[in-house]
Amino acid sequence: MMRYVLLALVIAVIAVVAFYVGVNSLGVWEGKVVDELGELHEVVIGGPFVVIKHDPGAYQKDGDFGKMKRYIEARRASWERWRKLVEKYGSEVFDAYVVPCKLLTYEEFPSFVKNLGLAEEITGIVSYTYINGTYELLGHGIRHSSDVDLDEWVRNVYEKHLLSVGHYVLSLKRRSINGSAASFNMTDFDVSKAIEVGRSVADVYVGAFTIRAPLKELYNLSKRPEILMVDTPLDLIWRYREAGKIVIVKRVAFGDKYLIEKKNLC
Amino acid sequence: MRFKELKISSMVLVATVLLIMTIPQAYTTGTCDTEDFYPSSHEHDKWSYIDPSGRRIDTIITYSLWGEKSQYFQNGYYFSFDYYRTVSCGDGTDKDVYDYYWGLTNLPNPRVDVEEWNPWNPLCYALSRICNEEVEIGTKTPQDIQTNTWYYVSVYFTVKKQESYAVRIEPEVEPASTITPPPWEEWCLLACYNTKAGSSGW
Repeated sequence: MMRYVLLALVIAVIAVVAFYVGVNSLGVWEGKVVDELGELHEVVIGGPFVVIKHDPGAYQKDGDFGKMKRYIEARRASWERWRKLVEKYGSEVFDAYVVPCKLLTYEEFPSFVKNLGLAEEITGIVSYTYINGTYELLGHGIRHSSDVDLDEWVRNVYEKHLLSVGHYVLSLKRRSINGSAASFNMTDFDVSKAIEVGRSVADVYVGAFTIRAPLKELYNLSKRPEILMVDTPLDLIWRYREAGKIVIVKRVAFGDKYLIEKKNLC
Repeated sequence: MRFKELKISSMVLVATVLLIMTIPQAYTTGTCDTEDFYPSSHEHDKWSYIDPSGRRIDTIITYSLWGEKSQYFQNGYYFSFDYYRTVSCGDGTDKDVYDYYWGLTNLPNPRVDVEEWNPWNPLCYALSRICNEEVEIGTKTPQDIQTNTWYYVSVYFTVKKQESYAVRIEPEVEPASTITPPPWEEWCLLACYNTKAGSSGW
């Protein structure tokens, strides 16, 4: 009898420990790695995969334009320095964060993307919102599948962003949130009104976008005169790719303001 | 002898109680085992403002559209977005910068499950993982989700600390059966942003 009790006890303890430790986290390494540009990124290694959390925010968080400019120059130069990566793994697909030379309107953006031949490759849009006399980076629209029509998706991202702006303005005007703390409501959200309000108080532009494309295409894009920067951690990709890993780059910094008003920085 | 038996019985009782409390929690936490319930396109915006009573509020709005139905969009499942606050996108340690305040959604039959640190809740001391700075907002009837229709989830948080943190937005279904191999969390993330509480944007 005692043996069964002890066995039950041991099983119970193992179950609780496994739950807290997390069975799925076994065999996974997480740490921080500095890239050649001096930026610190978090890296997760599990099985054959390496996930690089690309976070070049240190150049931006204090709003230092000089630092940002140096980062752009360093990244542009790195594409030449890592030609061997492009030559060896040029057909492999990676994610990159792309900054055009200047802000684009949402009307301009679809044809801009098509002219670059990126209609299939584009995966995300970073919006700059001009409101109260300043540009804010407030939202990020994502396209999971290229089956989603580009024009329709861009139109939707634009509209959803206006909706957020309107929702924000209406929240400011509201004397108090309609409901008690920790409550839940599904009715107090007038979509048409919020879009209308958003349109009346803000202008929304495309300030950056993300793409998923073969390295060769990313390299070619970095040379286009319309593009200020194609950002992806080339040296880290090389390091882990050469170690035989499958490398996935995930951008986690979307608050970096690279463009200034409507100036062309190229 | 009697004392020994009593001691073991107490331990078994404690272990059993822990198990009973843990297993349902593992169930409600859900599993990310497939990407087929990912929206085809989605947008995430963040606004910060001070409300008339002087509180700083951060609002995170998620818009989602599904081009096709997931295998899990049927009776018997829940579908939710988790808004999980951690130290960074690479470090899943909880970061207590927010308290959930309010939520809005046009998802059918909405559900909200607030899992946050609360010093008055003894369960947070006994089972800290149920107080992991997470709020789940979704639907109890995912079978009613319509394809090619935009759904929004707007979550209001009161800001406790204006500090850097990461918001991990993770879609999940409950219950799910198969588990994706490591690093499974990377597949489960819909989006993750290293950002700051009390500021607009990412």
